[in-house]
Amino acid sequence: MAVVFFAFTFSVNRWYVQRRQQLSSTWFDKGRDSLNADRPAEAIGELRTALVYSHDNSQYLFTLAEALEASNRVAEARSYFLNLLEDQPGSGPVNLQLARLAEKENEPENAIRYFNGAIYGAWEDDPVLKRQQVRQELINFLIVKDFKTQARGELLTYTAEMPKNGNAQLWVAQAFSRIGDDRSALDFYRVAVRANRRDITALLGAGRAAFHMGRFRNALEYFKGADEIHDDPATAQLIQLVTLVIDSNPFESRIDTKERRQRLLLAMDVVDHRLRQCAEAQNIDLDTIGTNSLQVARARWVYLDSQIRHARTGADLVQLLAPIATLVTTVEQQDPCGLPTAEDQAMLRIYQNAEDLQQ
Amino acid sequence: MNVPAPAVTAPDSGEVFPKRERVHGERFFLLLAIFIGIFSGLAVVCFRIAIEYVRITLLGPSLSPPYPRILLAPALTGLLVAVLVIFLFPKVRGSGVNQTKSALYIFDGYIPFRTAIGKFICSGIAIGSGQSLGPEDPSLQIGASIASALGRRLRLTRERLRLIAPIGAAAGLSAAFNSPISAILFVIEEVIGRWSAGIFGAVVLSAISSVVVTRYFLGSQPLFRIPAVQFTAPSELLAYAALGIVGAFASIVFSKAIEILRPRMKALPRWTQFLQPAIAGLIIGAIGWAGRPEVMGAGYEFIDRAMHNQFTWQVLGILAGLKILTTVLSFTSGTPGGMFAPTLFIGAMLGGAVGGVERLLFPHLVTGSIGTYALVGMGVLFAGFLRVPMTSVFMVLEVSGNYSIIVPVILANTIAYLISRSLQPVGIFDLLSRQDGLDLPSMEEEREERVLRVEDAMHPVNVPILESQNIVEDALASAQKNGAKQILVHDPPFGWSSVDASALQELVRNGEGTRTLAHSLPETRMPPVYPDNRLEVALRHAHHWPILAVMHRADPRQLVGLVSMHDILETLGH
Repeated sequence: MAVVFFAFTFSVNRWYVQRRQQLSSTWFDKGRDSLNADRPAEAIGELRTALVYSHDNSQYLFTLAEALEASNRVAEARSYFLNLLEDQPGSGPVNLQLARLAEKENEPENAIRYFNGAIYGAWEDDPVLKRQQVRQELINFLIVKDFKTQARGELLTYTAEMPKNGNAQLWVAQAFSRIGDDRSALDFYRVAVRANRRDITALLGAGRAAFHMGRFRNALEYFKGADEIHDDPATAQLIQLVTLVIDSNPFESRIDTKERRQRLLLAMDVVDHRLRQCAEAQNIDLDTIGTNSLQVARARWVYLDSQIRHARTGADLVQLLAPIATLVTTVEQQDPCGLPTAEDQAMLRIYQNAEDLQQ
Repeated sequence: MNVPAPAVTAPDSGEVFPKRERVHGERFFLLLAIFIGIFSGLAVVCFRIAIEYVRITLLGPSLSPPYPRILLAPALTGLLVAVLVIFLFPKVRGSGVNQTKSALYIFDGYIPFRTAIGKFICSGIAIGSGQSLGPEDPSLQIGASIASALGRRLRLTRERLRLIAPIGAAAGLSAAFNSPISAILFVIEEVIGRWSAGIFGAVVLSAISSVVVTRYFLGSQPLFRIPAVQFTAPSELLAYAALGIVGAFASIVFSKAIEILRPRMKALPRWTQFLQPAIAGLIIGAIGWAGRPEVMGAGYEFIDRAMHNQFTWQVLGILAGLKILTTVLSFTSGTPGGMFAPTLFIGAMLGGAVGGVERLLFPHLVTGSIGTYALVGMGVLFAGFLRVPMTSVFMVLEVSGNYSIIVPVILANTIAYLISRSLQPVGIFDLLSRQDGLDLPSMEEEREERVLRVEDAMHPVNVPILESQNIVEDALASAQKNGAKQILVHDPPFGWSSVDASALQELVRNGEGTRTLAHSLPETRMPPVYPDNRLEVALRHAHHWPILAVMHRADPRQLVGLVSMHDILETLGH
């Protein structure tokens, strides 16, 4: 009797299991299609039905959690992902999704923890590439959150393992630029340019990095290279700016005293113009002596202008470079003063890098 | 409830295998328990598949059944179930727990096999069509029916047959619940009411074997997935205590609603009984159609969702309230089905809702997840509504597999149990049996009964105490001097004995006065009786021994008192 009952239950159960499998896969397909078609609300219902027939299917659970996330039901999605993580603590995709949720919820500590979990976690397909992509995402996150030191550390780790192609080099260069490490950025831009001399992004990036570092002639070369490949007004403007900077740069060692004086007086003219613009915008009388920063700058301007004009030797002019740089930087960074002209931008760029250039 | 005359088929003696039964009785019983577990497990697997099949067929495979199925399926199947119950299976009404208790205490373990078939069909249709009932209690009754049928077929003794129904019940519940420990405890706590090695071993074996069978076929995954549960801050116990209080009141509302509505529904004219399950089904379908299909059926998928923070606290609260309403309607309409799953559902929803509100009001107090509160809530309703405090604690531990939560579970469950018991002295199963006119023993009341012990009846030693080496003449003189009718004799190393003064007188008269007392003592020695023994222990020996020596457990030579039949009867009379 027991054998007959067992056999009966066995055959009924086999039919039942097949039916459940069929139902679960049908509803999962529906859910996935809905999710791909950007109908996450529908997908949620369908995926939940799929899960009724296949309780612990981690793929279904994962997709449901994705659908919940897509519907902005972050708490629910997180709950599903956390359950999945409990079952598979080393899962790369689950860690990554949790990291993204933490990022969305502005929980940087959790996000970093889960990103690291994803980087060192298990991936079914192409684990090396997936880990590199996750690290890129982590670096982006760190940059956005302004964790520059950590971002730099991750970038350096990434450079050790990254694929040796122009795109990767370019991405690294851009990342270095974003954290303000122009020197490293320029190095990677150069490699990217070497890999593809017609890569506009790399050329423009290299130009900007060189420009920020005060290597104006290098910057001009890169911008001209970009301009040759692609005729873009923005690139032309950059070339114009760099040319102006080069032509107005009083820190150039190869120019004589007369030329240096000319360039300093040009800077003083631009600053004078900007000062007046600012005074007008802020309704301040520059001819009156006072404690306002613009009035103080104006007094300083009068003094330095006189010093330039009365300087007898080249050495006298060189000694004036530092105080003039301070004045130019102070005035050009004043706000509100209206939109800066190309000359204003050029002067700010030249004198901001005064220390570097002097070195 | 109409109680038929018990059809006792098992004779008091003369089993099929009398010799084997004598020699291997216990082992045979344990082996039989395993087979009961296997059969019950197979039956429950088929039962669960049947419920699922009916659900998919009638309501469709989706979690949200479409209109008009959602409205019509529970109503129309309600009509069918009513016809089946009234004409073919009148004994399948209700949950099945009391029917199993009736088999144990009234019908000598007899449960007609037809009941199992009826329960299978009617509960399967009812639960599958969306009636707000669960499959656990019916599984319990199916298991008990199978066990009873097997016992009758093997012509077990009346005593064994009486015990076999709870063994089957444990197997059925264990298979349905996929939690053997909870099932064993429930049967011991609510059905049998006592622990003994023989019963316990059989119950455990049947429960385990049925779970093994169920897991072989249906897999080992729980009915609902348990999220990571945690309890870290002791101050959070306040939040769990509040959950215990709310759960107790919800249990009372649930219980009171059944208490009030059930007799009224039964008192309605007979023709309305054909319509009652259909009307209950229609209302439940309407609630589902109105946007809350979660309350239909057992609802394990939604317990799972509540556990995983898928509902807001407002929705959880609404679901708890609606589930109480729908379960009361389904159950009081006479639809066969269980209350375990609805109790878990209500508990989970209520726990989640209370946890959500507490988190909103006291964000620093509540550190546990909503899933943790839902889990504790299930235990709270188990303790408050079903009145099984031990089972409620172990059920939560068993399904969660996490012992870190034991403190809040014990606290909340105890609070719920105590409040519920003080406001509603009669538990739900006792209430139902009394409404049915059955005077089944209340396990809860039995647990509360004061146990009379020997120390309550004993009096100080007021008879002479002599050694067995004393001579009869001296003993008689001592008895006469003290006016004692009995003499207590210490006879090392055999222990204590007593001798009647008149017997000593007779010995002296016969010229045996110089012999030692040892020769006049009865062959058997006085059984050891201790102050903490139940009074029944002393009563068992009192008619052989006019006085019983009450000994000190640490030193048997030291007497702490005497107890006689008169003392025992007087104490029992009080």
